[in-house]
Order: sequence, then C-alpha cells, then structure tokens
Amino acid sequence: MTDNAVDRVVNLLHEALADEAAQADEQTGQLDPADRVQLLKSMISEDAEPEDAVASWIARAIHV
Amino acid sequence: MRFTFSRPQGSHELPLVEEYPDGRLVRVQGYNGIGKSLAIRLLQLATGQQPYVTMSNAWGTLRSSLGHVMIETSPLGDRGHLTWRLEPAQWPEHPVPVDEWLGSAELDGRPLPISEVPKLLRVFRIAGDETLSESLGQRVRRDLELTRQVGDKVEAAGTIWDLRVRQVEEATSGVRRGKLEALHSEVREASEQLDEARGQHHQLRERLEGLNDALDLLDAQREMTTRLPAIQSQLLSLRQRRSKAEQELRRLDDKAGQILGDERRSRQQAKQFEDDERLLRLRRDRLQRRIWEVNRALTAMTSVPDIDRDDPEAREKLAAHIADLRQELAVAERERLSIDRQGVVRELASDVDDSLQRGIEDGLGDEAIADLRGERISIEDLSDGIEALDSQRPITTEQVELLRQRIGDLENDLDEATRLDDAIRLYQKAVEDVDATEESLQTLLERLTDPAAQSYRELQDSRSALVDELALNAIETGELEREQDALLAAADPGAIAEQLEGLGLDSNDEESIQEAHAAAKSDLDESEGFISELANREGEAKAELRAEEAAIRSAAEALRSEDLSWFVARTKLDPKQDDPLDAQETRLAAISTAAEAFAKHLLTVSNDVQAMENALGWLARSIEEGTRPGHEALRLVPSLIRRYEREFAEYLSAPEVIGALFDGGSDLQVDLSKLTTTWVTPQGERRTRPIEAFSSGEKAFAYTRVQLEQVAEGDAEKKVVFLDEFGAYVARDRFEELETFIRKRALPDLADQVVIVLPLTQEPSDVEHRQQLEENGLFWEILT
Repeated sequence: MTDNAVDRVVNLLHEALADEAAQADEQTGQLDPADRVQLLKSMISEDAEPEDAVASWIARAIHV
Repeated sequence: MRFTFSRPQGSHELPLVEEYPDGRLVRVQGYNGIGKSLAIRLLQLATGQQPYVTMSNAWGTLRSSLGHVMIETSPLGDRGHLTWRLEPAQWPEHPVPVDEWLGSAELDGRPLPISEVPKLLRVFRIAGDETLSESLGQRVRRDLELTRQVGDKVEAAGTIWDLRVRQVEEATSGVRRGKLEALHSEVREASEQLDEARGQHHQLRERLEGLNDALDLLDAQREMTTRLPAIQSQLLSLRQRRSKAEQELRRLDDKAGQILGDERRSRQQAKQFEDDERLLRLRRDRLQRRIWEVNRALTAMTSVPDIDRDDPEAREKLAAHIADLRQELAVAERERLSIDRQGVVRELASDVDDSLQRGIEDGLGDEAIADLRGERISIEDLSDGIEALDSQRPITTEQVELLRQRIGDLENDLDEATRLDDAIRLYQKAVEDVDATEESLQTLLERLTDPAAQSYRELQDSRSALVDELALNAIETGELEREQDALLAAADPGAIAEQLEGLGLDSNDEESIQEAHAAAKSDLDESEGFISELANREGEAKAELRAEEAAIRSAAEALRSEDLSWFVARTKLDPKQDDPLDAQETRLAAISTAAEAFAKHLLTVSNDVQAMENALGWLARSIEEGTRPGHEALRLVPSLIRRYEREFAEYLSAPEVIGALFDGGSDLQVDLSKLTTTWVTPQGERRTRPIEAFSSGEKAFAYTRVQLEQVAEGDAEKKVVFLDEFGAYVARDRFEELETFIRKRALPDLADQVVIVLPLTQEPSDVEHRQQLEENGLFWEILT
C-alpha cells in the first residue's frame, strides 16, 4: 500500500470516528479518535518493531 | 510513455492490443473487441491495482484463456525500461490484492519485486460506461478495498502485538493498586475487633463467676436455715452429757483419793500419784485433740493420701506427697499463666509467623533459625510448631474454670498437707507422752497392796472411759461449733447484698439470679462463638495478605524474567527488589492496568477498521443500486455518509463542472440519502436535481471530475490515466470541452499522461492512420 492510500484510509476513519464521537451522548472511556488512528498507524507501520511499539504504548498509558 | 504487449505465437482466445503509444494527451480510436480495455486492466494489475474485484467471472476467463503475456514500457526517465512477465494460469482462484503471484518484473533488465512497481508507475482506468451513481459507488468501493488491506495489516500486527501485551498482562495479573493497604487495614481491623471481643469476653466471664458466687451464697443461706437447728440441738445434748461426765469424774477422783489415803502412804507418794494422774488426764486430752487435728486435715483434703498416723514413716511419706502436690501446682500455674497471656502470645506468634511465611515463600524454609538444646530448628519447623500450637487454642471457659478449680484444690491440699505434717508430728509426741505417764503411774500402782491396787485399777478404768468420753465430747462440740460458725459466716446477709450490688442486681430472688446466670452463660457462649469467628476472619485476612504479598513478589519476579526482558529493557518499569512491597504493588498494578487497557485498545482499533469495512461495503452497494442509504443500524454509516457528501460536493464544485452542470451557481450540496444534488443559482434560487437526471454528456464531465481524484491517491513517480469507453457518452460537440478540462485539471497536477480511448466511428482519412488501423486495429492522435 502506498503512503497516500494509507493516509486516505486513516483520514477517512479519523473523520468518521470524530463525527461518531461528536454525535454520541456519552463518552465510552475509550481512546479518543486521534489516539485510535495513531494506534492504527503504529500497527500498520512497516518500520515498527512490535516490542518497541507495545512497550511504548504501555509506558505511555502509565505516564499519562 | 509507450506500452507494448506481446504473447507467444499461436491462437489466442482473448484478443489483446499490441501497443498504446507515447504522448501526454493521446486520443486512440479502434475497433470493438480487439482487447483495448483488457490491455488497460492488465496495466492496472501490473502497477498494483486489482480491477477485477467485482468481476469474478471475467477473472476466471482471464486465468484460463489469456496465456503468458509480456508487457514492456518505453524508458521511465533515466530509470530504463519496465518489463513484466505475467503467468495468468498461476494466478489465485479469486481476484485478491496484487502480490508477487502476478509474475515477475524487471527494471532495465534487473529483477524488481512486484510490490515495488507501484512506487515507480501507476496506471488508472476511468470508465465512461459507468453511471454517476456507479462512479460515486466505485469511489466508496475503492476506499473499501484500501480499508480491507489496512484491516489485513491490523489483524496481522494485532495478533503479534496481542501476544506481547498478554505476556505483560499475565505477568502482572492479579496485582491491583491499594489492595495491599486494604488488606493491612482489614487485618488491623480484625485484630482490634478480636482484642475488643476478648476484653468483653473476660468481663462476661467475671460476671458469670460473680453470679456463681451469689448462687453459692444463696445455697449457704439455705443450708444454714436447714442445718443450724440440728447443730444447736446436738450441741445442747453434748454439753449436758459433758456436765454429767464431769460430775461422775469428780466422784471417781474423790473415791480414788480415799483409796490412796487408806493405804497411809507418805504425803510425798500421794502427791506424786496425784500429779501423775492429772498429767495423764491432760496428756490424754491433748492426744485426743491431736487425733482430731489429724483427722480434720485428712478430711479437708480433696485428694486423701494413704497415710497411717501410727506408721513411724508416716511423715516421710507425707513429705513425698507434698513434693508431688507442689510439682502439680507449678504445672497448673504455668498453664494458667499461659492462658492469661494467650492473647499476647497469639499476637506475637502471628507477627513471627508472618515473617517466617515470607522466608518460606522466599525459599528459606530449610534454613536453621534456632538451636534448641543442640537440635537445629528450621524456619519451616518453627512455623509448623506455631501452627500446631495455634490449632490447640482457644481453651474454652469450662476448661479455664476447671483449671482454676484444680489450682484451688491443689493449694488447699498443700496447706492441709502441711498442717497434717504438724498434726502427725504432734500426735506422735502426744502418744509418747501418754505412754510415759501411764508407765509412771503403773510403777506407783505396783507399790500399793493388792486389794487397794485392784480397787484403784477398776476405778481407774472407769475413770479412763469417762476421760475418753469427755475428750470425744469436746471434739464433737468443737466440730459442731466450727460448722455453726462457718454456716453463719457463709450466709452473711451483708455479703450477699454486696455481691448482688456488684453484679447490678437489686433482688436476692434466686429465680432472678438463675435467669441472670443463664443469660450470662448464653452471652459467654455467644462471645466464644464470636471470638472464634473473628479469629477465623483475622486468619483469613492474614492468609489473603500473605497471598497478595506472594503475588506481588511473583509478578515482580516474572517481570524481571528473561521472557519479559524486551519490556523491561525498553520501559525500565520493573519494580526493584529493594523497593517496599507497596511501592512494587503500585508499579505492577499500573503496568497491569495499562496493559489491560491497551489490549482493549487493540481490540477497539480492530473493531473500528472492521466497522468501517462493513459500513463502506453497505454504503457502496446502496449508492450503486440506488437504494438510498439511510441505514442507521450499522456503525459509522451516518458519519461516512456525511463525510462522502462533503467530498462528492467538493468534486462537483470544480469551476468547470459548476459552469457546465450547475448554472454557474454556488453552495453545491450532495444528499446521498436522497441521491440528489442541490445548488443556489446566481439569481439566488435553490435548485434540486437527482443525480441520475444528468444527461450522458453532463455525467461524463461530473464523472471524470470525480474519477480523476483517485489519481491523486498514488504517490508513484509516473501516473498514466486511461479514459476508456468514453465514446458513447461524450457528444462530439463537447469533446473539445472535455479535452480542455483534462489539459487544465488533470495534466498539470494529477497525471503524467492521459489516453482517451474511443470506439472507431469513421475510417481515418490519412495514410499513416489507415496503416496503423490495418496493423493494430486502432490508430492514435497525439493531442499534446
């Protein structure tokens, strides 16, 4: 997949999730749309080592 | 860029054009059925797109009938030629996304992975045989295809990531922030409740003992009432008999004096006789008292030793008995002391055992911790010993009462045994004294004449019997008087009143006291049950605390293990062994919570992508089939509808399209739920028009505008766009307008080359084009 194609999907999902969150009456306590698409991008990134990514996301959740 | 297509010699079921020429804007016209579109689709495949996603049958025909194909381009700038060798017979059964299965590729003679090709070149096909709805639907469908590819990657990554997250989760599972502190509080609270309950239990026991004493006093009062008249009557009788016996004794003494006077003995001898007689009486009295004292001591003992007062070794035997009593008393007192200190000892044992348990959990169970008279005691032995002792407790109230009674009995027996020893010693001395005096009197009697001696001896026998009777009378009188005194003392009304006041009872009615006694006994039993329950609760809380401590140590150890070195090395989040346990718990709990939350986030992302796949599929079908999307049940559909409405409105708002189709108006809006467009005319009038109501020529414009947007997605070095099947839709009079549009909108920003493919409408007039048509079935014009 080209970077542009990935960007297309990520943007589409981000906008849809943001719109969905804006329409929702209550917060679900989940990651916000920006974090969700950021996590998505990490998952499909060709460069990321799984261990680096998982450790980094867990550490980030602790420090937030 | 020029494309050539070649196949091995032989018959081919599927026709395929041999060439598409170079040129920035080229118009190609050719016969129908010569493989113009097939060649374009092969170029799409070769550059990474899958145009057969919705054409399974055509895909099957391609695999079975196309045969080996070689495609070659003219040089891509300074990179050289691109060449593909396609083997359709080897392709997958279904039209899956393009991968290395396609065949092989070379760049300037060097192998190039198929996956690398799209970075160099992308070929797009815009088909004029689609309606505007289909075109919009295709836009959504392409997004669906991309989303599926993203979804595949998410799923693949999710599986690997999830394994890692689970590793961290499993290592730290069960550790929760603040649990340790909560358990410490629970243990503390349980211990405090237990101490308080034990204090209340002690008070209840004292009350029960007080009520026992009160009942004893009432018993004594009753005993006094029934027994005292009989005692007093016996005493009166004894005193009367004593008076009578004393009178008779005086008479005998007078007669004895007369006998001795008749013998005319010397005054000195008579005096000696009288003295011995008096002494014998005194000593016999004393002997009787000693006998009474020995008997009293023996009867006062709860455990009577087998001792004969006349046995010369009686005192030695009694000394041994006293030694036994002392030993028994010491043991019982130690036991009582142990019970009294039970609460403190329990607490101490618990503290020690907690530490021992930690040692055992740390693998130190076999290590020696004490030397008990040469025998080495391990940590585990000591812990087992504490547990065994703990299981023997608690001692019931009845057992405590029995022990107290036993100690009282032993103390009493010891006192009485000491008195008995004195009594036996004095008794034996009294026997010796009586024997000596009787011997002296016998000597004096032997000096009397026989008749006088005979009379005297007879008189003396009667006299001895009277002395014995008087002695016995004195003993009985003394015993009865003591019993009378004891009864009067035990039944003292003042003592009873004081006892009842101390117990908070204002009535000496026995029934009330019995009720209070029963209630106190019941309270005591209940208190014992409650203490037992609290002790269990305390034990359980301690066990839970120990389990939590073990879980924390185990989790910390797991985190430091080789399996999780990747996590620790990257985050430095492992708790240090020297950290306090609560600090380790805090850190582990934070890791556990974060890992648990992150696992959910992974699932959320996967669900998001899946939801978008579902929504896009549904939306594409709805637009293509004109079923008017408005479905609210599928997640993200409403959001995506709003998103696409904005996007499609933006496509159609290009000035050329607005001018051609929407009266040069403004505020163009697309409503996908109604499949309509609305806009405001320059005169300020809002107009609405169904998408399907646009004419072919109009649609071609709008459609081309929409389709050209897909070209922007690729980030390849070169992009080539084929406008295929346009002839049926583009009216001759608007073709130049379309060319202008392409020159202005597509070529500068979006594509390097645009090829417009049209069906042959009339034979070319010039020789060159006729020759091209004859050789290839098509001819071309380079427009730019």
